[in-house]
Amino acid sequence: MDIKGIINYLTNHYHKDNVRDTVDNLADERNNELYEPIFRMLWRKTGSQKRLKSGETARLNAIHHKINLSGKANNQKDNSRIRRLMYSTTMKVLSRAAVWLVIPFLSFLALTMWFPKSILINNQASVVHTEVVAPVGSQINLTLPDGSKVWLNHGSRLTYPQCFKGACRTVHLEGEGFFEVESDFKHPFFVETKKMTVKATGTKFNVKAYDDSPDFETTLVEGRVAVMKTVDEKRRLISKLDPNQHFKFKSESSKYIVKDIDPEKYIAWKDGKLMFEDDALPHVMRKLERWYNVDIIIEDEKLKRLTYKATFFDETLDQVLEKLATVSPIKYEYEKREFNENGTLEKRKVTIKYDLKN
Amino acid sequence: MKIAKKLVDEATINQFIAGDVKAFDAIFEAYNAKLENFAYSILKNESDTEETVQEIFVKLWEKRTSLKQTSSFESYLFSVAYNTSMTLIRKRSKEKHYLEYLENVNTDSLINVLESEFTEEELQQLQQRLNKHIEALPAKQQEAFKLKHFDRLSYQEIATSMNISKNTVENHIVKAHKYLRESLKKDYFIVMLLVSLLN
Repeated sequence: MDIKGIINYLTNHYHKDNVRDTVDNLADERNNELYEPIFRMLWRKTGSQKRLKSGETARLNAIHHKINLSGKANNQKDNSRIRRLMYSTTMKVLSRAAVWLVIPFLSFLALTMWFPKSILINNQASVVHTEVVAPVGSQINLTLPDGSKVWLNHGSRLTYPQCFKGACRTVHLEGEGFFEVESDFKHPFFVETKKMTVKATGTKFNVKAYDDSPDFETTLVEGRVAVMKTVDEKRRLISKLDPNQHFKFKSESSKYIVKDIDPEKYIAWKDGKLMFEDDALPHVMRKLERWYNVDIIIEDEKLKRLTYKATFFDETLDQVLEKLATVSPIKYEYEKREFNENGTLEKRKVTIKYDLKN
Repeated sequence: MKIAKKLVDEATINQFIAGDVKAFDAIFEAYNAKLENFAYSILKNESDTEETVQEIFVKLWEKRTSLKQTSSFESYLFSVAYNTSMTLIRKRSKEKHYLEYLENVNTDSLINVLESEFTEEELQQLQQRLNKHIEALPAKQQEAFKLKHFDRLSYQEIATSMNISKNTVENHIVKAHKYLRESLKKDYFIVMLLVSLLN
């Protein structure tokens, strides 16, 4: 019942020693109604000032998309009801004729179900895996046995079976990769990650699934892909993508978003370009960390709302940071590096600070 | 009492209820910043804020037909915003790294989004309103409730000090909350009635 504590929290005047208590208190569901008057007052006092970052249109688009998704789900329900009605009347007519169809149908079923299985079992018998690693600070491109091309971004790892051709074209990816898959409609190409799987036939797409990030992303440039998730050892379809669409799954909230985008930004890395398109500072720094193998700390929460639009090609970390600092209220400092126990220098650390020039 | 100015007109709200996407976009345009600022006060970080606001607008669209009176639109929007933000902070309050973030973030670096600060007078007004409701509780419930929430005693400690069983204490507190919820609802209804009359 600590009204003052709650108001202090809401207005950022709280003290770190009692913030846990206050949040506990706030989070207690039984207090919901008791505190409502405080929040009503807060709502009245809350201004409509726009925030530093842009991208409002993108956020509205994301909402539209979500609404469409749930809207579609509703429509499907209605459709299935209609379908069920039609189905029952048609069935009455057909069931009389059905007896004559059962025998040929069963033999057809036996043929189609039995044979592909036996082929699959033979193929899986000898599985030797090859592993390709692109360490932090370097990129690799390679051609798989079936002719498909793969680009691996900094700090990524690709594993694939040696007998790669034919029925089971499956690779396992940790990190980020761009794929140009050889067309083979009978044998789809799967990119498995810890979070999701992408299924493709002949197509160009990017997959980003770093272990240290809770997100999974895929961007389609050409063709068609399906994003799937393995549940109880079965792959289930999550979403199908059209060209110029970007799919992002956030593990933290178990939500996904599909957006129409210009794919250039997502695949520029494979041509050695660092590209930002209205990206927030934390995202920019995260990319620089992998690209240049450094740790970057953003000191001020305010700065996280800054967004950048820029492309860099063949530039050093220093050049990139210098340019970002000229166009926004930040400065950067390198921390002094110490030696590790084994005599090597530790990873470089950079701190980003608020700096209002002039 | 200060009356909040309306950010969208009634015609737009009516079109929105009827399923007009353009009207929905206009509402987004008008309220997005305010909702972001409101959610940020509670959650204090960008990504949760963004997620919450997205959810608020999705809910708003899905439940639009349940909005009968256009005059209560602001109030309805507030309820959706309040409940959605609280649901997330309830989840976050159990996460270690979130609490550590709140403890370690420089509070000066958090963005202040208020047009006017809370005054001492308003604080007392809120406190009095709450006290009024608590004082209307039956004696035993009131005592248990105060010991729990003002003196921060555990159920066991309250039981010892009131010389009753722990179960009875729990009973008192559950009943007190239920009573307060009801009486606050009535109080709120009267306040809203006043506001709409003034309008």
